[in-house]
Amino acid sequence: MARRPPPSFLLALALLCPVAAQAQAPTTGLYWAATLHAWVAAMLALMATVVGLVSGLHPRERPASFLVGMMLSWVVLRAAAAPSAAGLRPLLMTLLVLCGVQYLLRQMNWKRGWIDHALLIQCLVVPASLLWTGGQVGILGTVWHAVLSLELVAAMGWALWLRRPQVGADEAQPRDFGLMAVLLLPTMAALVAEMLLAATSESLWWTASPWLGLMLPLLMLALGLQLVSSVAHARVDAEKRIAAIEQRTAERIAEVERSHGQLAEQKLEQVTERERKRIAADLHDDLGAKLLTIVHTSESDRISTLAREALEEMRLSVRGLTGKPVHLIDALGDWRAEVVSRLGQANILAEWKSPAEDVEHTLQARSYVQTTRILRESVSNIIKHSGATHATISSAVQQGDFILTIQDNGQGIPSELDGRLDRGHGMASMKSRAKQMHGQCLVESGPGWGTVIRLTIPL
Amino acid sequence: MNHILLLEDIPEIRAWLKALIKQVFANAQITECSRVQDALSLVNGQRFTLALLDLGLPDGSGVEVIAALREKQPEVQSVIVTIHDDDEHLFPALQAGAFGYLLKEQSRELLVEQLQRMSQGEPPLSPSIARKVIAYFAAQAKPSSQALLHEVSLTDRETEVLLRVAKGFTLPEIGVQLGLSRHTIADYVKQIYRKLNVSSRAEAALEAQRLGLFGRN
Repeated sequence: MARRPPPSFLLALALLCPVAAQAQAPTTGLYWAATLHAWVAAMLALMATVVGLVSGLHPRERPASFLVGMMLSWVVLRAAAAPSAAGLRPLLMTLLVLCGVQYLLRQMNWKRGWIDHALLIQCLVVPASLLWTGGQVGILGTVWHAVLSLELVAAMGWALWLRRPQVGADEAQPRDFGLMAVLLLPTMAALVAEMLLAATSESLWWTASPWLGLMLPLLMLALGLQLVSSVAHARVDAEKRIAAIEQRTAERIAEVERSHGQLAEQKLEQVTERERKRIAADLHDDLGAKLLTIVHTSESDRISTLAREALEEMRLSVRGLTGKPVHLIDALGDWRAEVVSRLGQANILAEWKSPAEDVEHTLQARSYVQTTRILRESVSNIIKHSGATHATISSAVQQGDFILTIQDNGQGIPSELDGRLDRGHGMASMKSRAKQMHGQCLVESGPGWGTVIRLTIPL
Repeated sequence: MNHILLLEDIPEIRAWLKALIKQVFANAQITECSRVQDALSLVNGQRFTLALLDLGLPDGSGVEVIAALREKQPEVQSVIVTIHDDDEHLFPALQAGAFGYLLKEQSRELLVEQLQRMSQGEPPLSPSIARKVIAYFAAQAKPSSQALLHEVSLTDRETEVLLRVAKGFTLPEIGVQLGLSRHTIADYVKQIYRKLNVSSRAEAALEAQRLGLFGRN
């Protein structure tokens, strides 16, 4: 069958049609019907070209070639209205039925070998039998016409039945079914009506037949349009799918990059941690052991005290180097135990006030270490220099700050040390440590008043 | 008479520790060594009453000696003498069965006092160690862990003592708070260390079994 007929040939056929139709239809109604037929035939020729192109280019639209065949059969059937071509008409009609039935069924993926064979045999038998009996005017012509019409009606009915909406199907199915029903049912009705009229009233048939006969070409036009629009929709869908795939790919890539980044970060963290541990171990084993030897073998108290302090400093530095953030509540526990036992050994009554509510803040390892140093230094000052009998250490969390207050009832810092508040009291280093934590350390002291050290660090 | 094992690799520190021991236990017999291997063979051959063990040694860790003592001479008190004050180093030693620890750089007076207390059955317990013990037993009590380990769990009183130590209260303070004698509090701490050791050993045995070290499972 011709899938891609030359357009010029089709156009010529279509233009001839009105003339042929006009010759057949003397009354005005018939004239208009014939004109419409001619135009529809022209449109069908064009549509056949379009659909032919689509089905040729898209392997999945192969069944549409049957629609092309159906359209062309019709166009040629209209063109072959002249009596000289009467022998051709039965062949064209059977071809039309063959193509129509095949298109409707294949569209639903419904294929049976015996139908294919039967339709092909029919294409031979019908024209041959008519030729043999001489012309199509006789009873045999009417019978074949009815059989062919019924075949079309049956195929349409079956196609509709196959299309019925299934339970649980998506919403597109009922819409499809509705559209097909609107297209197919009137055409089926028209075909049946024409047959009934032909059997009952010949005069009525003469007037109604051209109008009823319009339904089939209109159906073909509609099917053609439906096909073109479905191809267009498929393209839109494909573009959407491509966009979705691109987005998914982009997301996948972003995810891979992210997890790769995390992995690299983890690796870096591990390496850093290992290196820190190595440095810490080296410090402990080498520097620590040597300092310790000095602590315990030096003849001079001053040197062994210095070495002990250096050792404590070293340990705190290592802790700041390797340590994880410390819960404030844990840090307070550590500090309390140390301060209370040290002051207790020095026979100074210690009073410790922790925040009443449970604090949930954490301290950076460095902040913990620096605060420990400041607290240790303050307690050392109280023990060594203040002469106090009582010390109060209170801590609080206020507006995102941690506040530690160390107060004693000693003799205070002698006034000659004011201005250069140091001389072994370590005030300057306490202040610079507070600054390193973006906090501050205030010292208030007066002779006979005792000393108050107020440390404020942001949490 | 006391027979004390002293394991320390730095000669000066070893001499200093020896002097310290003499100060606390005037008539003690002290056997010195500087390597883990030597200490292990000594543990096999001689009976001791107390062992002072360094952790970081050239040929291994003092923890190995603690474990060997725990197995062969369970009545011996193993005391760690270390420069590492962090629980990362102390906790494994306590799990292995150490009775207490001394921090090397502390003043002689303090160390003498602590050693005396330990010899009287009063082991030290720092807030960070207490927190670690609490966390350890909390993990053991989880339904997901092995059923066998549930047999070793802390009593409410022991947990109470640990929680207070973690908050920074000293053992005498806790004694006052709970209305208990210093001796009773010390017993709680000893009991906690013992349970930590028993539970850790059970855990280690289960782990070994899981790994198939005993041939078949």
